[in-house]
Amino acid sequence: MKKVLVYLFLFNVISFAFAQNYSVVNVKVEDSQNHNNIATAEVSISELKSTTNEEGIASFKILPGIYGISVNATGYQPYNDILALMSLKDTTIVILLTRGLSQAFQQEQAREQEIEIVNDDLDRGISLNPLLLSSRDPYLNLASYNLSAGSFSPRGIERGGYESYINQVLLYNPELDRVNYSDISGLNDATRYSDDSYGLEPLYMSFGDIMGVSNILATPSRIRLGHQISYGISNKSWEHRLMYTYNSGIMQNGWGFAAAYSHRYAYDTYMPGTWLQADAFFFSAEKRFSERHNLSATIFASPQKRALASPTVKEAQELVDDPYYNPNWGVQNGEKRNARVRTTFKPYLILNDEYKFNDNLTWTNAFGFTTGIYGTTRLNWYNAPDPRPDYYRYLPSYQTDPSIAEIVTQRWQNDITVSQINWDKLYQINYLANLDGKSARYIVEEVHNDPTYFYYASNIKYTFNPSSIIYGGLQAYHYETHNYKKINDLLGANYYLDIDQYAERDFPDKPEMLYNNLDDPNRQLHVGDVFGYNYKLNTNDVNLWTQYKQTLPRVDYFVAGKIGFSNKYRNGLYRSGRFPDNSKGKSDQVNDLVGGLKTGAIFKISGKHYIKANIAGFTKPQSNLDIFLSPYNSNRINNDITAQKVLSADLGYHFNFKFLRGRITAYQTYILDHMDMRGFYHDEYQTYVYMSLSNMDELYQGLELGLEANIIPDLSISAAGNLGNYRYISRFKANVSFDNLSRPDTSYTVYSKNFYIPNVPQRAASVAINYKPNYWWFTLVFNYFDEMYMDFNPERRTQFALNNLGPDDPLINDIIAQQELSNGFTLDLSISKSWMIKHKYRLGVNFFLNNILDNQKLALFAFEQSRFDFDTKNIDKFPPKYMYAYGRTYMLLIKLSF
Amino acid sequence: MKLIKNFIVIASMILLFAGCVDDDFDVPPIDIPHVDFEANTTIAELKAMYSGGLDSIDTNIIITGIVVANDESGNFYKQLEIQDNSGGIEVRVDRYDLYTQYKVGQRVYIKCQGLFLGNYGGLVQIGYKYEGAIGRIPDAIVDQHIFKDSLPGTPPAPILTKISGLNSNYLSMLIQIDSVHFAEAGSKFAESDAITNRTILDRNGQTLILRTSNYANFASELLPAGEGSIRGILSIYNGTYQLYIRDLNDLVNWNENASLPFLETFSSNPLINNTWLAYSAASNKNWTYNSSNGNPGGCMEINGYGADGASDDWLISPEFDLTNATAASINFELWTQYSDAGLTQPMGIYILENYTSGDPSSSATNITNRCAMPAANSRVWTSSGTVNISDFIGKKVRLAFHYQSSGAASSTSTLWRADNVAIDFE
Repeated sequence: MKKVLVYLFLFNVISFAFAQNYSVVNVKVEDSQNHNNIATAEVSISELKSTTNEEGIASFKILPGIYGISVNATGYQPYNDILALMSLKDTTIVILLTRGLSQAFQQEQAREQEIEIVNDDLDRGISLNPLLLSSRDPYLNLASYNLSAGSFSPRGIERGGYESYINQVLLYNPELDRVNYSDISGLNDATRYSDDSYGLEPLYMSFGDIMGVSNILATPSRIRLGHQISYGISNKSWEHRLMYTYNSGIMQNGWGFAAAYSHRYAYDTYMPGTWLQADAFFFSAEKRFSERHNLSATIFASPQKRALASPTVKEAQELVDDPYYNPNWGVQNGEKRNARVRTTFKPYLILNDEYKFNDNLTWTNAFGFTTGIYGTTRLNWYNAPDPRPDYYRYLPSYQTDPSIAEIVTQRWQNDITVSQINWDKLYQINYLANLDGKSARYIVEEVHNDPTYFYYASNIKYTFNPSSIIYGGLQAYHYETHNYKKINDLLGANYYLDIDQYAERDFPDKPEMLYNNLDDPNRQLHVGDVFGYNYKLNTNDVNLWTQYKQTLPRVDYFVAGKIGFSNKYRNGLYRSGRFPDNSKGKSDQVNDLVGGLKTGAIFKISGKHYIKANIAGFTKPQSNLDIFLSPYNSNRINNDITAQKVLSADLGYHFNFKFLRGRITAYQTYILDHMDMRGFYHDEYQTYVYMSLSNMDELYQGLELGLEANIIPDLSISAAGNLGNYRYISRFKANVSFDNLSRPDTSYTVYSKNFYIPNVPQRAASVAINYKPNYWWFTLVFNYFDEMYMDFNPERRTQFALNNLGPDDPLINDIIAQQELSNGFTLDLSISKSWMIKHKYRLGVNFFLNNILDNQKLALFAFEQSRFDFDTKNIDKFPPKYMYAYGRTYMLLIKLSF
Repeated sequence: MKLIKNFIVIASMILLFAGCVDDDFDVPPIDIPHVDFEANTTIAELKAMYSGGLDSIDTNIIITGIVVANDESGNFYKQLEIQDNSGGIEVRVDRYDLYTQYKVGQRVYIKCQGLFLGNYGGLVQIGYKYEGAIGRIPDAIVDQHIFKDSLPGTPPAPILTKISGLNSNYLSMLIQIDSVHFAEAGSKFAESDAITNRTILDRNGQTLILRTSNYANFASELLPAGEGSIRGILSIYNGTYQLYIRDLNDLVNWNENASLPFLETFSSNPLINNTWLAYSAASNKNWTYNSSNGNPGGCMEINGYGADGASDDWLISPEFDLTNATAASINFELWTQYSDAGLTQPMGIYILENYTSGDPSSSATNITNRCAMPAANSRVWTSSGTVNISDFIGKKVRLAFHYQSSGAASSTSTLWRADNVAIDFE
């Protein structure tokens, strides 16, 4: 058995030479078996990075102090340790690497777990955060690889809080306050390498946020050299994937080229009735004019077409005995057809320029641009029965007569045209409408939120000396979404009318109110026509930031600050019949001046103990989606708008013994004055309703624990745990608007104080056993999730909902209590093996088996419906909807690199 | 170059490998429904089998009919009206937007076994049991009982009838009544908060209730003035006929400028603004307005009992210009109580010519013998029948009711009421 041998001469060397103001540390990297030099290994000491030369040496200039050191080389297991440099003396350390699988293989699993699910009512997607994939922190390793299959989010922050960049261009959707991870999906090998920070610590190109920053390095100088071909099969979000990545590296003429292509598809993914067809393209060219000047251009796109699953009520899932029952599909002419198909195509162009004036001063410029489509289809209908099979009136529980409920149950269980969408029937009904020359009763419409995004950043880095660096720069972007609906399929009908049927019903004597576009009323619509609503949301944002970092023998610290300006407005393209004077043209501008400060320090008690502390306070503008009272049809702005305030701090103790390393961190974050807009179709009032929530104050506090124990060199056990307490600490204010104006706008108080932040487990733990004999890697992981709470309907936590109930009525608790979701555990296994063929070709095989015990009771998310029967106060009339985490899944990857 | 070649080769391999998910779907052909069984019972026969209460249908009865009304306008709710040559029946179905599947003109077959007959206010319906009474056929079993046959065709022509000709055979059938108008012209079909009754009148003053749901999409439209034909489905509630129209197309050939036949229902006191005139030739008991004892509503009344002597009183209608008329008739209703020992007929009906004021007797022509008069002390509203007055064509005339009593005692005076006076001329 080969052991990992580490020689750190430095622990024994103490010297007092003051001849120079830094030490030159040469890190020599060798193969543990034959002591051959390993070239092109990546060595980092704290945030300094270098690559070994032909002699296997990387040089650093550092001050005495305690640093984290890590080494990564292809074909070897990653190496992490602490470097304690106690004096100003030049020195050489030798690090022996054990052959095995690289970090990159391990990352594969997490990156592939990306899933995306649409929630009809909240239109929320869930996807994995690749920011966390490359962490060397034992807590984050486990949390990101394993707990992400449930709904775990580090520190409870589900959206926002992260900044993710690719080549220093922010991948961001300011409307959803979320990173657009799906824009790089399918480009795993091209986007594998990144610089990351976790928590409040900034990276080198921004002020950062509260959860971390990641900069994916996707240029020929950064991507792995040579060819990489991988093929995978899986039963998750794709069935087959082929991916090819090539990088020439920077050649002698200064040019470098990298390219990647992948294709993923599935006829049936894990969720019934869903499929995927996705390609991904990547091309990057880099020109190194001199050691000082570097220019690169990168284009990529990840066009996808994906059929979606939607959450549904437990009753439907139980009727068909499938927790993954998906109401979105049905049979048409013998084929499965899904009504909700998402089409995305957003090609990016990124330009980077880096210029070093001298060894101390570097100036970088990054420009990014994307424009494209983001459309999701769905059924719509006009004065016709609801076509969705899980509509509550079609379920047995709606029947009062048990014998009829039994008939409905039988039909649900035996007739697929009942339990799924009956497409053929929709066509026949449209054909009958054609006979009268009438409008379609049923159509498939495509809801578009097409983005256009310009991003520019200009950053300066000035190194006073190796231990003292100042960064600063400017970030600016313009983000615009074009929101509209388009006819996707008339389902056999001849045309559709662009009117609001709900206004038509409620205002029969005001015909102008039913037109969605007064300037072009009574339009007959055909496939491809835009209708319904049509507006653009614009966000303009610019900020100036700076950051200073210093490394001292016993303490590292940083201070950072930013000041920014944000501008938002709506630009209506239709004159709505409901708001003829306040829907077309530009809305009032919403401007915010924001800013903040951050500081943090690492106190190095010794090479084995250190303490990290960070604190930040800043303001943040509200999202464009949350500030308009009825964005589909008017420019009206919520008057309660105010910037969000974020206050966050953490304090951690880190230890690093020979056989045990880990940390325990306490964290606390306040997000105050958050706003949220929820739009939903209100079945009782039969109109679309906008609920704009303001004054949402959130508290996220907890403890994180991470441990990694090396029992014997090839066997390690790691553990991660989180004890969180994530709560709303204020009473929301709700502003409610009815799309068809059938009722006046109202506002009321939501008694939401001390409610849990929903759909994220407050407690989670993960324990992994890693066994890594030579060229093999076995990992068995046990994951535990607990204390996750359902998203609640604000209307049920109002005075109105409790009207006519006595103080001791047991119904009160039923109505207002927040429901806890079931806890549970999963077991995952991964096996990896690699071979070297003819000293040139490396063949790697990864096999992942997730949720081996097939636990199908873990909710991914669940929410109460946005309806409440105020008369009977029966909370079971409109029961919650659920989406469950995948049961047993597998993925097999074969990868050839040369 | 070798690199580029490699790249091209590998890229081509990938493209060959690439699987594609087909998302172009075949469009289903138009389904022309066909029923391969036959009806064995007419609708009238089925209704005749109804024995009262909630009546289950246990035998293999199959009826067929054409849909004549559905829920398209919202005036009918979860129900279809179907008819064959023998009659019509209301089918109650627990499903929304039935019209998207069962259009007017659609032939349907109903397998009745397992369904129920019941009645609501006297209207026989077919449906399902619900809490011991007749309810709607559950959505889940509709398709096991109601079958469409062929594409929707031309709906049957409405049965042409008159208000006076309505009978129970026409219930749940499409009927048409010509030459009618609305008593509440200018009002909404239905008030916004409730199902609303309006009054249809024909030229003879015969009335029929028009019943409209506030959920009908034409509920807030106004009842037109003028005259025309009306179509609809005949219904009944506790002995009173009601008509439901399907939509505004059921008002046919409507002429809003038509001069209406004169009709007075005495909904308010006509003496106040001198629309009608009262002339008292004797006694202090005169024609007065009675707001509650009419047929229905208000009427005019006179009673000589307790007067200061024998009465002699005239009630005189507005003037009608028959100068250009080609035909003219009148119609009215009378009610009487008690007997006058001194007079065999205390009430006389007269036509006045060119009357303006004063004692009318000089210009009056007695037409009492042309009219059906109520028997003494009969206490029943009695129609005069259609009384021909074509002999007055070319003149300006008024109708007058002439009351007399032989004294003021209970045996020498009578009580009379008059209502629903119609004068029809063309």
